[in-house]
Amino acid sequence: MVILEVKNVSYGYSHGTPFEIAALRDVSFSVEKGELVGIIGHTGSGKSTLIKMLNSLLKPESGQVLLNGKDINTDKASIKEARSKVGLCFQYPEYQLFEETCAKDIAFGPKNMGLSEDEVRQRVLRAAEFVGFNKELLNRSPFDLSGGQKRRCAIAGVMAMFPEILVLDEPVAGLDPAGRRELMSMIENYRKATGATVMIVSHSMDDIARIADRILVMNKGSLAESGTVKEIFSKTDKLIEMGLSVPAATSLINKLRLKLPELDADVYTTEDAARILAAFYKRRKEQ
Amino acid sequence: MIKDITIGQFFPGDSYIHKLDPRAKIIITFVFIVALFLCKNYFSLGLLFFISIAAIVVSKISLRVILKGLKMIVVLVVFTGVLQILYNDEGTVLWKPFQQLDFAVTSGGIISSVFIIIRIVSLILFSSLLTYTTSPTMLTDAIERLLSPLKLFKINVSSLAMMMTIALRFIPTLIEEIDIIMSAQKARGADLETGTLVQRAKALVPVFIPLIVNSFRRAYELAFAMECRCYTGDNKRTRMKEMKLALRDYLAFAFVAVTVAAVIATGFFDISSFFIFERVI
Repeated sequence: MVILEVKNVSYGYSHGTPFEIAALRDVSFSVEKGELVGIIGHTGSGKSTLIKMLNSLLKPESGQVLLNGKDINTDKASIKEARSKVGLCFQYPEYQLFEETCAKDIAFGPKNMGLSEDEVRQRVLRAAEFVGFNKELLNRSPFDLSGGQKRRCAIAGVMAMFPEILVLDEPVAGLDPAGRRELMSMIENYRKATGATVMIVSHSMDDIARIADRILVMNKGSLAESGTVKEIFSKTDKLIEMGLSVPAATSLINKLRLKLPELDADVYTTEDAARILAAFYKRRKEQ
Repeated sequence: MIKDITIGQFFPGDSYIHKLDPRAKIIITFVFIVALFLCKNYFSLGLLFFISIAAIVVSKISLRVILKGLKMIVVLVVFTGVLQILYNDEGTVLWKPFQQLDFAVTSGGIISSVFIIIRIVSLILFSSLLTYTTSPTMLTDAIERLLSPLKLFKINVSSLAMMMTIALRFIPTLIEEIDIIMSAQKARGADLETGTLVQRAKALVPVFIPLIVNSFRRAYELAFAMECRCYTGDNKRTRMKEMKLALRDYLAFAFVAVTVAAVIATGFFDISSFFIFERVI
């Protein structure tokens, strides 16, 4: 079932000044319920503008954004609905924390939705659980936390709204490898538990290859490609031309295939690469 | 929306006005603003208004940018204009809407209201032209040079100028940051646009707390970065680009001197353009 549909959306910044840019040009795609969509693209390719369209923070200059078949920019009520159903978490969300305690900060979203106090409290506890926050952390000031903890607190603030679509802009940027892995699995757990649709903007091809069902590739404000992990990452040259790349594992196997053409080409994650190379090694040994 | 603020922005170009020495530009702008307040009649005010328009044409700044800048002060202009009409009861009565009240629209009121509106608009035009055509760094460099006599009073002019540069430099950054934080809080359902004044003021707390916290963080980072590059804040730094007055600057000074002389002279002769206009109305 299609949950979100973006139809011929265009948008420009700074009209009438020498700095005018067309941020989005005629972008169209749709997202199925429960899908995990990865969005990749060079810096300035329009990814951030695109995600702001999804909950009406920006209104398309032409085109439509349909949530469950309804245009989200119809009136105030439809915008409010979109804001609660599409949870947007920006880059470096830890810089938007403001409350005295983490619990209060996480409660900001659900409170704005007009839920009862009881419901808000329950949602805060559930969201905190997803990001591994215990009671003690919940009662601390968000400004006393470590960088990684702040990030998780901020993401919990969006999760607590239990949006139908969770959109994350570079959720793991600037975290250490352990923090990245942890946060990625937290997002996956959230998705499994709630059945929510998730969209992730990332510069890490490895992360995207590992978790995405489908990938959107943005280039210069247009949607350049859209397809499965295999469809996108098999076009190495095209991606490099757009200032992107393929996952490290794909790149390794591609290089090995120059010498060993019998290797399987469809490798996109480190685990796959390890499996294929182990099998190859075993075959070699048997011969 | 918040990015549409054009006052104080710099638009690169290579017109005569862009090329003027920034010190000359600051002095000229200042002189013109003083001259605007010396105007006693429509001749001198008209002259200055005409000069401001001519300067904009020469600077090649697009009309749309200028109008956008003026849009910001519409409320102020209308407000002062209306006040003038309300409180000035000189001249002939043109319209008396309420017989019981001691209030009438008079010719004198309209004349002084138009006068003050042109004065405010010219004021904005001159001062925004300065920032539109001068980059913030040039501006602070020039201010530093112009303030250098204060060194005699043991005032550290170069740190003052540095503070000003930093403040100016961070305005766009902070505007962008406010935009990001507002978007983030709106995405969590914050309502920043409706409600009573008190409600709206309260709704800004989630925007301003992160903004202030981030500003402190930025200030620390910037201070470290400056220290890493051996900034000490003393007065002994030399400049990479020395400012030098050129022929065009002297020409501009001469032009301004003549204009100001004309403004003052028309004031002395009291041509009383008021009466000419009154007859027209």
